[in-house]
Amino acid sequence: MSLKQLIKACEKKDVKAQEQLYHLYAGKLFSVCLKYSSNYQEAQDNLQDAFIKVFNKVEQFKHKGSFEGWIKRIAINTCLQRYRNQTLFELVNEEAIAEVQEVEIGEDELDLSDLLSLIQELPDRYRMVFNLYVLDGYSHKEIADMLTITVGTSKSNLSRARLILKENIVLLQKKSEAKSIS
Amino acid sequence: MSSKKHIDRVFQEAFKEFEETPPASNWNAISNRLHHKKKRRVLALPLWYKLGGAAAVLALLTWSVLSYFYQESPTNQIVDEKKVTPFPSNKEEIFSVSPKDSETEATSKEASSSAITTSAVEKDKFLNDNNTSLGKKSIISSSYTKVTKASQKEASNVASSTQENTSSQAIDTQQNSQKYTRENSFSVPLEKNEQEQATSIRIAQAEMNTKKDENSNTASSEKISLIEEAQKIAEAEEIVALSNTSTKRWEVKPMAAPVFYGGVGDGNAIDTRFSDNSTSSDITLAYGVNIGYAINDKLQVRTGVNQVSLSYNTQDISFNPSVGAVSLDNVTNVNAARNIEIHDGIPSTPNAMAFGEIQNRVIEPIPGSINQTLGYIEVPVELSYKLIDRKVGVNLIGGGSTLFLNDNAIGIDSEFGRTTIGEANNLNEVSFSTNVGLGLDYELMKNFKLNLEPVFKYQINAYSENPGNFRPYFFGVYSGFSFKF
Repeated sequence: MSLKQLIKACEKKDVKAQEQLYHLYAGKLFSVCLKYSSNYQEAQDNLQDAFIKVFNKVEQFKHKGSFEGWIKRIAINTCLQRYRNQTLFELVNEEAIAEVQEVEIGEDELDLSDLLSLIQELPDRYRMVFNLYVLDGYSHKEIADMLTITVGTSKSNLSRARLILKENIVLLQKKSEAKSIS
Repeated sequence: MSSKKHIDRVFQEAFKEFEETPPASNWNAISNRLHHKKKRRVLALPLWYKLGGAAAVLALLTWSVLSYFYQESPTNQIVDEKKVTPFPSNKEEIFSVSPKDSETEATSKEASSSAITTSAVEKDKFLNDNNTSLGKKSIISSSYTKVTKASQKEASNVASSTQENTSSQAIDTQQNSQKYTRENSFSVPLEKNEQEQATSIRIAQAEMNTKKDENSNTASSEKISLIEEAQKIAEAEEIVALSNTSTKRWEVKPMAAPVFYGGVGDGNAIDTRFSDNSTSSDITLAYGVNIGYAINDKLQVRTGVNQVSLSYNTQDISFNPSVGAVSLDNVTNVNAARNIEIHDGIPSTPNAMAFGEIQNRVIEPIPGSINQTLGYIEVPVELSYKLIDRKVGVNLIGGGSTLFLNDNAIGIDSEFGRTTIGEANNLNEVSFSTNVGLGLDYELMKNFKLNLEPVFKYQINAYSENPGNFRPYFFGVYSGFSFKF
């Protein structure tokens, strides 16, 4: 069955086709959800919500552009919706941090799960902006529209996210050094 | 081996190929939710199913009771009587076939000519135990001496001509025949026809002997073929009629009604103290839109949305300002009304006397009445059954309504005006009523009717507590127009 046929079958609410589609994209969407959620449990909730949306709105997919791109956007939006409404009480000044954030990092020094937890530990808004900009290639303008914030806020949030990430990476490195010494 | 990297690069490289399979339980959760959603849509209906069921049962019950009393079954009967009378010179063989639509009064016009001949027959009384229960019209059918087909104009032409041919002979026969020797009858239910003309199908056929006439056999066979033809015409008509009516099943009906609110029993919903006070209802207004769907030619399911305002007065009370005012049983006072003492009747010594401080400033109780106003959004589910379907139609309506409370106020009316004292606290937000009514309509145009529907609605659970012996109902005469599409 081609992808197109599978999508058509999903439009007709064919349960078998829905399951097939789920298994085809569950991995990709779950990785999106993991990045955008604050923990593993919430990532699962978001994944379920995203798939429910996909199955309910599959007839709206116009077969222009990739289906994977379409359902990824749905997953991202699902995550954004969950955290958009949560007001961030930040007591930070919004001025941009100009310095370039670089870290000294050894190969295989940090594995993926460490990095993932670093992202998940970020405050919601920072996590969103960092993911959107760095990992999914959205521009500040697009991010500003998606999160209903200003471009300036988006930039500032990104800088702060980088700063936090860098500090935490250094912290992790120190810990592992201490471990290896002892 | 370490190198300086931009933080973005670190993450971009790490997450480039990132993909993680979620736990298998997620699919189950998703499919459950997808499935559950479908279920929930169905689950939203049972209340209406129940109400619809109740409505159907009610309508069927009332219909069956009525049909029992009127004995007017909507079926056509074919009565086949065969009479062989012993006659000195010869034996007569007579039988009549008469499918009767007993419900149709209009038939009597078409068949009136035959009725005249029959009245002569009636005197002879030899037919009177045949169809007595069917009244006048049955006598027509028992005119054993003629063939009458009156289902429509063509048919009636045939009938009248046949009748002419045979009537003279009929009289002869009736004089000669004194006894039945054999009688059998059977009835065949036929689908009742909607069209006015078609409703009156009457075929009365009688074969009579012509005293030693050798042609009697051929004559009888001719007549039988005529009956068959008439039946074919009637059947064809039915088919046409059915196909005509099946196209327009929906009906929209904006309506308004004066409504009278009252209660069975002698309780009082506001306070048990007032249970023996005289009460009255203001005539209030109900309005809304109903939609009907015709299940078949006779039955229609109807629902809609109505706003119903009700107003109810409890007379013979009095009130005066008092510090120690006790609020009424089932009324939540508004702040301004905290210090109003309400009495049953007009007490000779005001209660406020109990408070020495204000003794000198006692104010005479003012006579008045308590007025309770209620508002409901009403969603009826009813069945209506057509009893008569002509230019003027009569329907029987039965069903139930769901009532959503949207107005609730209690005030005191007196010569000084109206004082709001609060609202009733024993009214259910959602309650139900059972409805019985009669629908009259007048056909202005083919798909356009004027309606008048007196409907009685008995409330089942209007009050949550302390209703005393008060069981409320309201009665409205709903008028409006309806449009079929």
